[in-house]
Amino acid sequence: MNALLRIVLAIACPAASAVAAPQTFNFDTAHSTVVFRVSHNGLAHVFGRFRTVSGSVNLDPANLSSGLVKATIDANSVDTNNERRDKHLRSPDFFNAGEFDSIEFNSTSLEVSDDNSGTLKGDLTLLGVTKPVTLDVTVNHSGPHPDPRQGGAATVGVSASGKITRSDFGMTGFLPGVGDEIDLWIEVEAVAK
Amino acid sequence: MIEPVLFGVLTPFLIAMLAAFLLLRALPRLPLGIAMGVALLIGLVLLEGFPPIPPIASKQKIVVGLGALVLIFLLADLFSLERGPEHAGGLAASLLLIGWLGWKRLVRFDSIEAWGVLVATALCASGIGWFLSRRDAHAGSVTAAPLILASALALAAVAGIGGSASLALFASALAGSVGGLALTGFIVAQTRAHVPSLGTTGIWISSAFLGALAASLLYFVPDTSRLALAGIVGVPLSGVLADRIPLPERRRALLRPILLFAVALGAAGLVFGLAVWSDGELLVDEPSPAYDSPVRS
Repeated sequence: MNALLRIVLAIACPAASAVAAPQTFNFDTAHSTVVFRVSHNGLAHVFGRFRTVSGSVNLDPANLSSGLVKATIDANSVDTNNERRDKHLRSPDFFNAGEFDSIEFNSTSLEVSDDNSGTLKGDLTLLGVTKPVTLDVTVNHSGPHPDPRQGGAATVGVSASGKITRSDFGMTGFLPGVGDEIDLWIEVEAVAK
Repeated sequence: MIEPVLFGVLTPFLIAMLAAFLLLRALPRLPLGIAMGVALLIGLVLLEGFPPIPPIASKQKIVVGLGALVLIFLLADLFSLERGPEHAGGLAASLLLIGWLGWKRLVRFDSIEAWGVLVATALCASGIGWFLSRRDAHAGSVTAAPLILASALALAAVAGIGGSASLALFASALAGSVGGLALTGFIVAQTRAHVPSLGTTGIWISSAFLGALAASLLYFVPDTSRLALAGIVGVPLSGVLADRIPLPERRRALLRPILLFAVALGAAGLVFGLAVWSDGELLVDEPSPAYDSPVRS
C-alpha cells in the first residue's frame, strides 16, 4: 500500500478498524495560509497572501477520488504588504472582490506517488470561472496533534504548491506587465471535528 | 498602458468618425448614433475580448447589454419612434441593465442600499438622456455630443481615482467613440445646413452606458467617491450655463460646440477635483503600476 494512502487511512481510522468511517477535518484558520507570487514587469516577483482561508478535508477511505478537500478564500483578504496595491487588487481590474467575494477550490481526485506526497486535482473557481488545477501535495504530519495542549486531537498538516494562469479565469488586467502565471503555495493545518 | 489606450480610445474614435462619414453619405437622414454605438462596442471588445454567453462578470454584462441596446434603439431610429415611448424605453433600458449588473446584491436580505443605487443611477441616467435628447432634437449632435464627451471623461477620472482602471477605460471608450462622432458632426455642421443628429441610439446608449458604469462602481468598487459620481450629473447640465453665454451669430455654428465642450470640460474638472479631494490619490500611475514602496518612503 502506498505510503500516502496509509497516512490518509491512518488519519481517517486511527484504530485501523475494518470499517473505515469518513472523517472531516476543519482548517485551523490561524495556521493555514495561501501565498502567491507574480512577476512585475519581468523585474522581480511580488508576493501576496490571503489572510482569510477556510475549508475542510473530508477523508473517506472508501472513495478518495472526490470531495477530499474544499477550500474557500476571501478575495477581500488579499494582502501584499501595500494597502494601496491591495485596494487595486480588490478592484475589477484583478480579483473584482466586490462582485466575486470568494475563491473556491473543490478537489476531484488524489493521485498518490511516493512516500508522503501526491498530486491533488480539483476545480478552482475564480471570478466566477471554474477551471481544473493541479497541486503537488506533501503530508507533513498526520496523527495526534504534537502540542499536548491540543489534547491529542487528530490533525493533518499539508503543504501544497501549483501554478495557475490568471487570464484563463478572465483576469486580464495589466497584462503582461503584471505576469500571467501565478505561483501558489498553500499551507494547511486541519483538525478533526 | 499604450495598448489599452490605443484599443479603448483611439480605435473607437477613428471608427466612429469613419462610420459617421459613411453614414452621412449613404443614409444622410439616419441619425449618427449607430456609428457611435458600433464604435463603442468594437472598442469594448478590443479591451475585454468577446464576452461569454451568458456573461459572468458585470463588465461582460455591460458589453452584451450594450450590444442589445444598440439593436433595439437602432430600430427606434429606423421607425422614428415618438418621444414618449423613446423616453420610457431609455428609463427601462437603464433599469434593466443596472438591475442585471447588481441582481445578486438586489436579492440579498440587506439590499436597501443596492435598490437605492439602482433607482438613483437609472433615474440620473434617464434624466441625462431626456435632457440630451431635447438638445439633440432641437439643434443636432453638435449640442449633445460635447456634453457626453465631457461626462465620459469625468466618469473615467472618477473610476481611475476610485480604483478601477478597467472601468475607466470603458468610460474612455465612450469618450473616444462620441469624440469621433462629435468631430464629424462638427465638420459637417460647418459645411451643410443640415446638422446631423445623434438620434435615439446615440443619446440613450450613452446615458444607459454612463449609468451602468456608475452603478458598477457603486456596487463593486467601494472606494469610489460617491460625491464625485453624483457631481457627474452636473457635467451635461453645464450646457445650460454655456447656452447663456452670448455668441456672434455669424460664428455660432463654429463656436457653440467648442464653448459647450469647454464649459462641460470645466465641470468635469470640478468632478475630478472632487474625486481627488475625497480620495486623495491616483490609483494607477504611469508608465507602470508603480506603487509607493517602503524603500522610497
